[in-house]
Amino acid sequence: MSGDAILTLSDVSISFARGDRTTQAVDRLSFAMARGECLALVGESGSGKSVTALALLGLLPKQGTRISGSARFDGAELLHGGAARVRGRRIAIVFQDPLSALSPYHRVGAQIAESFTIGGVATSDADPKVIAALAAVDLLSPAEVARAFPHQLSGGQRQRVCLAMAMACEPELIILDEPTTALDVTVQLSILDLIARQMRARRMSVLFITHDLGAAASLADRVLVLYGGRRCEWGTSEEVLSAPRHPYTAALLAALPRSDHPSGTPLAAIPGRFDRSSLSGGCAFAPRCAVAEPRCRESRPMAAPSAIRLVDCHLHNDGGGA
Amino acid sequence: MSPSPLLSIQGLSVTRSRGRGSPVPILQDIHIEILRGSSVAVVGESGSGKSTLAKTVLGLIPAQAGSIVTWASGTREELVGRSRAAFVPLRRHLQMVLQDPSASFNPRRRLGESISEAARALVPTLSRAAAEERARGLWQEVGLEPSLFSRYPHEVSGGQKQRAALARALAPEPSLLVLDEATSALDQSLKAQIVNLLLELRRRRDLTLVSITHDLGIARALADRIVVLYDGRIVEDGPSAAVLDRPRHPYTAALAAALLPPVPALARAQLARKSGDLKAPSPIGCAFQSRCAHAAEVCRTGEVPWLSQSPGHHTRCHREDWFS
Repeated sequence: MSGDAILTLSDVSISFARGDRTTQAVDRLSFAMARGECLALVGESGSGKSVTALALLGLLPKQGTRISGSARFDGAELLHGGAARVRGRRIAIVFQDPLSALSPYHRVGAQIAESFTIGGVATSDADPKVIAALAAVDLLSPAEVARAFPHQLSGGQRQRVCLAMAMACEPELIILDEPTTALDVTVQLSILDLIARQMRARRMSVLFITHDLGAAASLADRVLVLYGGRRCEWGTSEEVLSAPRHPYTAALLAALPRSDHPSGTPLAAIPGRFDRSSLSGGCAFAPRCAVAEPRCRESRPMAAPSAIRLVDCHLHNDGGGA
Repeated sequence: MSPSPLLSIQGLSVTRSRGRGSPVPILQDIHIEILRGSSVAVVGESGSGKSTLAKTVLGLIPAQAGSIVTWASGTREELVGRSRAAFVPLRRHLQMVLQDPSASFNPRRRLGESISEAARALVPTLSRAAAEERARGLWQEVGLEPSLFSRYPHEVSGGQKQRAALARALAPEPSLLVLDEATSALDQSLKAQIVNLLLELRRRRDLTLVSITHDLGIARALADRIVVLYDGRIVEDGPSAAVLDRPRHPYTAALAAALLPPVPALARAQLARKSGDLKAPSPIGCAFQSRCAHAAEVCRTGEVPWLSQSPGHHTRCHREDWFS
């Protein structure tokens, strides 16, 4: 698949220095994404998923941030200053909170028009292109929305506006950073459906960052699970979500209340909590893993890069499964 | 021993004035009976009025009509129409945990101090030493390491802070705990831990739980009964399993169908069945008709009847047979 990869990360590490303390947010992350595919980057807080997205777009503060490794988009390096050339043109992003992504002082139409301008197309806020962009994201009265200020719209409408802005420049890759987390479940469903349809119609590649395994299952072709800034496993959605091989993925799935869960009975919670200070040279999940062995704390498991299904777990790589 | 009522909400209506216009109804004609030791979840989307309901029960928002009676203190007390001062003696029996635990703590005070202070402020007979002892006991009960007791709120993680907020709410030994999206901001693995802790605390302390949530998965795990709110009205009320597995109101069915399972084929199929922007509640007739696939002529105008589906399971819907 590397032949037609749109995005390839090799050994990407990101750390932040603050005073004399260094935080390793992403630790030797490698993955590839095929053109036209939707890859879900799944993990909990502290897993490094959003930091990865910001690094790909060159949006991390320069002060105190150390980035190593390589991230190639269509062959060109994104890290170390390369992202500025493609950001907002060939790669776009949608954030979790649309209210902070939109300017409160400008009408929605003007903000969409600006995205077209950045993409190299001169336009005004009354342009039919702006109205068409708003209609394309299923807004019921696009002309009215174009004249509105962000605070006059509902959360779901705002997120649709952000999607319209992101897609205005016809990007090849769109990064969605928890786009539906702050929304009601019914609104989430209609926005995910919109994304799925747009992805197919525009043949966009989508990097979908989420902590919601159900949302990942609905949209993604492949899933990459992160824990503590490190990769746990990568495979097709069916492989990772229906037949997880990494103990962390399995535990995360088991902790969800299933539709046959009897009410009032405990959930299968993962004991302990993520603690960056306990990260060692071993597996990041070892301190909370139910099947960890001494070697899991000593050496870090890394799947062979050539593997069809990448599982970074000693127990799996024995061939015994986990 | 037959179960005794702890909280009885009858015909409750709450309106909010906006500028000079006529007041906007937030909650209309709410009836809920909550038995001692039970666990009820109130679910709905944003704007459904679920947080307003929680705040009204705790006396933080005044009600315009109806009654809220509680037996939490051991005797019958009416909450509607009570002044803030008259509410104070009841606070120890009715406690709340918020979505953002930081909101429950003074950032300049150590967590442990905030908890003993909550106990002393609401239970005046408690000595300083007894309050601290109680706080330390609760600290352990909610699963926190003793070394964190004298930390400041910003020095602990979100999950630890939510456990501390639970300890603070339990400090005056309440009978009723209202959880307003208490697990919503937490990671999946922490959510499960807090749900399990709440189940354990409920059993051990004979607590009555009212969980305000938009998360049906959490509602299923935590509550034995689910009340569904839409546009300020109860549209369905029944046992958790019945409401979630065999919803009898189209809105509940829509909420249940929006819960995506982590199974790609099922999640994709669920997504494909849904599209378009959601319409606002209808001001006349059934509020849900503007979004309802089963709406008929009868739904356009007038009051919607409150019908019994089975013992303890009711819906507000004209279309009795839409699901068959």
